[in-house]
Amino acid sequence: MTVARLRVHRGRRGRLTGLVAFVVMSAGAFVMIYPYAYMVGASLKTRKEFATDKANPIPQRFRPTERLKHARGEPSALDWPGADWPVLRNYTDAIIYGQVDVFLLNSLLYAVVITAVQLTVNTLAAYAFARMKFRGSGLLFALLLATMMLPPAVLLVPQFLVVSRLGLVDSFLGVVLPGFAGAFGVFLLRQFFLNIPRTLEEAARLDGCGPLRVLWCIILPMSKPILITLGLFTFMGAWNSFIWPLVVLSDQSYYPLTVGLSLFRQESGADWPRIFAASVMGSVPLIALFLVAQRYLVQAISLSGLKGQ
Amino acid sequence: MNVARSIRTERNQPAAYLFIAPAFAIVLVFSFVSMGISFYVSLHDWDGFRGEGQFVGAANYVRALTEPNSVFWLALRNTILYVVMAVVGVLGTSLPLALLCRRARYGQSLFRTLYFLPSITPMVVISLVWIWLLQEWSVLMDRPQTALAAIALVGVWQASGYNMLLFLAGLNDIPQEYYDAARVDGAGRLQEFWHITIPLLRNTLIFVTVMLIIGSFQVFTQAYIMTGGGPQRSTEVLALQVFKNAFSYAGQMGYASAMAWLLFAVLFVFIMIQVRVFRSRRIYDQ
Amino acid sequence: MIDLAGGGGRLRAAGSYVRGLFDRAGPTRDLLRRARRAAGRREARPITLRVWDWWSPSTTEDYARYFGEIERTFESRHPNVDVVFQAVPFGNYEQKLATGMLGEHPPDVFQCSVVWAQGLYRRGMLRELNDLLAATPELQDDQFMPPTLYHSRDGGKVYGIPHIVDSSCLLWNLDMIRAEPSLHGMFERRPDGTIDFRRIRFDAVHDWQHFRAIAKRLTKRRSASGEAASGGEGELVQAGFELNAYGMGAGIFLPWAASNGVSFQDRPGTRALFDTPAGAETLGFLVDLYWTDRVCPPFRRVLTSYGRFQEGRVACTMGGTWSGKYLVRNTQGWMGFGMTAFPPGPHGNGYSTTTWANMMVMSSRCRVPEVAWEYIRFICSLEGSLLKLRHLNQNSPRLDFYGGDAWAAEVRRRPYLANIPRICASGAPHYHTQTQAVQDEVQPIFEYVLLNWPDIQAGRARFSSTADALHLAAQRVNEVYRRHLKVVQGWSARDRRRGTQGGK
Repeated sequence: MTVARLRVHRGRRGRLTGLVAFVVMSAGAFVMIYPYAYMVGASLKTRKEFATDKANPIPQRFRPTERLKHARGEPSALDWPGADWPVLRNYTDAIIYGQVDVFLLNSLLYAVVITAVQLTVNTLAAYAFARMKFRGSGLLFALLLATMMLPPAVLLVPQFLVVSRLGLVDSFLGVVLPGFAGAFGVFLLRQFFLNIPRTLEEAARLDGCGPLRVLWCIILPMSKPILITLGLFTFMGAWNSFIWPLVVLSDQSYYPLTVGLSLFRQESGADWPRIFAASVMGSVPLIALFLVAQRYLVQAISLSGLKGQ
Repeated sequence: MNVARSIRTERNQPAAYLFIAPAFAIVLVFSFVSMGISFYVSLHDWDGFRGEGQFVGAANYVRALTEPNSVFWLALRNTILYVVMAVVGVLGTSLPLALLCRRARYGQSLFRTLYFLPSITPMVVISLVWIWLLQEWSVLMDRPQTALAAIALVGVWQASGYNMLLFLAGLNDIPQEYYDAARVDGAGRLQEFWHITIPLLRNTLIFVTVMLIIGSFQVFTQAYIMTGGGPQRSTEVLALQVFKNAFSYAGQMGYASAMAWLLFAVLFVFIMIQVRVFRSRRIYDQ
Repeated sequence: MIDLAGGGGRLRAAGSYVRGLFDRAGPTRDLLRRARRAAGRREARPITLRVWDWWSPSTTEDYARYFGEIERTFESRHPNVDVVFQAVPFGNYEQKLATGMLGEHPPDVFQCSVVWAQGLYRRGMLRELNDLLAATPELQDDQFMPPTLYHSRDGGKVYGIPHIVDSSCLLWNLDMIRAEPSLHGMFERRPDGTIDFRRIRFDAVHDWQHFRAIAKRLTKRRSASGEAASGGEGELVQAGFELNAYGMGAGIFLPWAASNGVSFQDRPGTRALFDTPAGAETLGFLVDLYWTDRVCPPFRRVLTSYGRFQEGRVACTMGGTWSGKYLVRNTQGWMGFGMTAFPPGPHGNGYSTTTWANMMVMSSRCRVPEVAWEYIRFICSLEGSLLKLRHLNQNSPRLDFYGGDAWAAEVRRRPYLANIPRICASGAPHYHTQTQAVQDEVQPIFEYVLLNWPDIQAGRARFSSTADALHLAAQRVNEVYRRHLKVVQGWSARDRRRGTQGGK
């Protein structure tokens, strides 16, 4: 990450502070990482291992102490039923019995569609506000900004009522439609467009290009970074969205992963290792995406104010 | 607003309306229009399934505000407590963490990555893991007095990395010269912090605080997944109450809409601050 | 379940997996189906019957086998019907129904719990079945145990057909009882006089005092010398009875109240009836079990059902007549357990519990009522009951079920089933009006009483006694009923004006 400039104080006192800071940060990092380790460990356990020892993330049949005991012929965790449980069995079970692959596909579909449409719609509107003159543009823009004032929790029931009137409850369109445009995205893009020097556009305009051509050929290539950033954030937000699909969907073959996980949780006789396997499968895509695209995301945060979940 | 003007006058471009139409249609329908519908519904005893209800005027609002043992006030109280805990918790961890991260001798970028991971993990996943972590290591979730703190802990855990990065960005904007000048004047570490860092971080601080407040008021997922309203309603937060009334109980969608409007009224002040701060930060603070 | 078809070639297997995935995922499946229909291709099974249930194949293989056989049998008899199951968790059922009935994929038939049936019918979500029932002799009233018909009708209109009967019951760890020679009277005796340690007598517990004594006998604490013995101080090694404060809602209070002669509500759901001295006595009895007799393990939030019982740490817990298959699966058969009804309390009238018969219903948005009725008939007939017995060890509300060989053979195989018919027959009706809202009101109060009893006794708490707590609970419940009644009356008025009956 290139954004932050390192400020390391010189001098012995500075070095000591640096070391102490490192130790404290490492301890904090451990607190941040431990739940993930727990999740992965629990996803490898059998039901019995999870029921008997919930504290230690390492499954008993993998622990050296148990293996030693077993090798010596003493009673150990490897004698329990299920000790020959294949390592990734919970993952395959989650897919076969829990239909987690359906949930993942749905999450992907919703996120991709929302991101693609939102980027398109937002870009068009932002370009119009940034570059085109039309009557009432100031007022309309203020109106758009005003919609950012409405927090999601307040909008939950109203949006459901609208979707219900439109007859889109429990459908693909019902899930994605409210996400097709975001005032925030328009705002950001407009800021960005305003900062692009007009010279290239004016040249193109002289050549007779219409606004759409100008947008497509000139502005968009220059806006790659912000588009990627905005796209990533929209994608992540859509992937993690929970309460809207929870409210609007009832057919389980439409569930995204977040709602699917809550479904597993509420079943009676919940198989927790399997739930954790599904959780791991649900977190990995975004983490992978984040690691690949770190640069853009960290830039976005310093531009920031981008909404969290 | 800073809008660059070209030398030549431009004609009105009616095509612009086409450009903004899709965004406007969606955003307006799903914000203002929907709020209007919701207000209409809040004046009725509305059933979501039947799609109709008896007009009752302000009865739902009156019920929320004045009913003895009103769940609305309970939920509001719980939510406010949660907000206070979450804001204090996040500010109290992410600001020191940001300061420490800058001082750390090794691994700054690795720390940034690791601390940010919780912010991109779905809250559902985080809640599921923390149910067991809390169950094993504490009795926090069992007792009504501490269950709210438990879900606040989870919220703080998730948000501190993201906010740490926000503060890091804000700290980076403070020119090193100020610190150097202060060092020359003989200021100690604490004075540096108090007289330089905090004032120059003011914008970021206000911004982060307001965003946190607004975001925390809408807490839902942890309460839904981890406690379902909690031991003796101690984690019954407003968003959860709205959800239950709108979708689980029959004929109470009007009451849920009324509660959502009341929540909006409570948040209105903070939202106005947010918009004001947001605009100043974005536009003037290039 | 997915079947990885494809004989050769990993690519082909991957391709067929992807095709299968697109077929299972909602958005792609419906898109492809619409495309196929637009292209004019006819489907093999044009009629889709959507069946919802909270029994989930993903929780037990038994359910997977049961639903598999139902699907195979029904689809072979009706070749143009494709049965599609969806499992919805019990706690979300009403919410998902309300949403699903508004959308494009409403259920046609679903299993309906007694706790929702009245409310769903009043909202207009259930189709009346009187006309279809008139033409079906095997589902007439005289075929069923009388208590099981209580919840599926309202004012002469039938909206459900019972297909299983469940009751709350006490689950006993028979191995622990066996270890106490003085308690061997609780076991059944074989005709030749020997004790059958696999079966507990229906009337093993004579009354509440006897229950207390048994629980105390079965509570073992580690004494100073390190041995586990009944009574005394020290760490709890084995608990006599498990009481869940954190799950303590009406569902736990009710069976004990029923055995003390207390009802929860009146049938139309206008008044709470549990605010009586006998009710206060019941709550007091439960509280005493924990705080005075100390036969219960410390209160902890439970995330898994009968966790401690399965782990062999409590001798008796509250469960249901349906619990058997879960216990057998989770303990992998090593634990001997039995079921009894709740012993009569001081104001009670014999053994009692709560009984309810969940029913199959047809949704008001069902587009294929004849097919749906055929499905309901299949499930609620003797054939369906025997299938449930075979796969789920589930007993039936049908009278002809208990006379058959299948039941007798099953009882011999699984002795814990023996008491179930008597338990079900002895039960009082389960509460059924606005149960979610009622439970939300009542649970915090019961929880509070159980957790803070010492404070209540010392006069420091919100209530002065159990009667006081019940009084507040009844007030709140009456408020829920009053509100609900007002809404329902509004609906009826509109329906009468419009000349329609219920629903959209």
